[in-house]
Amino acid sequence: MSLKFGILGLMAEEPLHGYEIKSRFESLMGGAWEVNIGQIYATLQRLERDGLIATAGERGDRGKLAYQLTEQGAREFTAWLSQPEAGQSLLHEDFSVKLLLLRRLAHADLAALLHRQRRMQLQHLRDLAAMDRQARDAGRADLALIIKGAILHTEADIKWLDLCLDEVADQQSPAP
Amino acid sequence: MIDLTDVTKSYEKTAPSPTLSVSLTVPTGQFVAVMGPSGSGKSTLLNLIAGLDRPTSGRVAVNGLAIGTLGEAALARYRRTQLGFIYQFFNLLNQLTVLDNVTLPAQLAGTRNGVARRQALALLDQVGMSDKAQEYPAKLSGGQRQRVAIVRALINRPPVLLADEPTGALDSRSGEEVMGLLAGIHRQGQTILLVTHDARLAATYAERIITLRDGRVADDALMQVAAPASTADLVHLHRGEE
Repeated sequence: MSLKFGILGLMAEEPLHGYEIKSRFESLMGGAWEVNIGQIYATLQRLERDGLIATAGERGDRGKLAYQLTEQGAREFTAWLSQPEAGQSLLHEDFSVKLLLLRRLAHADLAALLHRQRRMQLQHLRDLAAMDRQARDAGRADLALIIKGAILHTEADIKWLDLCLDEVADQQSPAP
Repeated sequence: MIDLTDVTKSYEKTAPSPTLSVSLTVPTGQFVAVMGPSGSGKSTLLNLIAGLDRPTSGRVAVNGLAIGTLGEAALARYRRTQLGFIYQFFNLLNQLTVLDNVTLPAQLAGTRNGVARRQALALLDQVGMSDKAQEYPAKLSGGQRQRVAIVRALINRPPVLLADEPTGALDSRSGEEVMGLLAGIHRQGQTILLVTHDARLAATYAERIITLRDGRVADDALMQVAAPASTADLVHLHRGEE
């Protein structure tokens, strides 16, 4: 979804051809989101079919074809920019389903899974901290802000896992 | 190397289970974070390694020295020469200047005053505090006080640094600076044991995270070197797309 609007947004600046879109999109994301050129062309085809972009001029050197926003594309992009995004539904995540199932199964080691998940999230925090440093060193305050969001989400995940572990411990300890 | 073998610590003889029951080894030069809920045994672990508590059973050894069997004088010498302490609330002496706070442990260890002052000024310079040498702690910010406390902990070049929630009383920027200093000290080969509630700081700076629960090691995780920016990381941010 963001790739579609990312392309429209980049084209709001000037007409672009496929490889320009790929490199500008990746640079926008600080190199942290790679897209293959096939994905770009497939998205361009859909956008053209839906009337959101149109070819700009003739084929240039080496047969490259540039695209530009149509009026409809510009309207749709502007509307998308101003819309809030619905939050992710954490309830639908695989891990939540695993947790609920494990609780129903006798002899299942819930604490072990929680610790493994927590360990993974700690490593994820470490990786994000390194990305944060890279982004700031590169002067990409905008990207650092996005990464900071991911760090806060991951910290919340760890707090939640700790809460789950507290509950598992409470259930295992004998009543006073 | 810090080596705890079948160590237990019970404060009450009638308690159904000991406050702490662990076996673990920390190799020289490792930066270890100890996490866990309140009452999980973090402080007890630190106190046993510091020789402030004696184990109920088992053996605590630091660089080959069995702490549990030492007499009081030997314990005091051990703490002075082998350990540096950093506390949440700095524990600086308010009636002494920064320089005097920092040189005091060196003088207690028998270093001549002139030598101690030279070492102290060099270390204060390293943490950007040499211009505050003649100030009193009360005039410093929390972050500055903790930097002074770090220098005080390092003045006798102890092989082991024990840090108990060193960022707990600091704002996030000062906390980050203090952790940056600890990371720099670790890169020079210092063994560091850090007790913290802060998962982000632990994951960012420590290479190993031990999680205690109910006095036992519930998890002992070696961190991998942080992966460079990769698609997988941001894909996590954009779940549900495409």
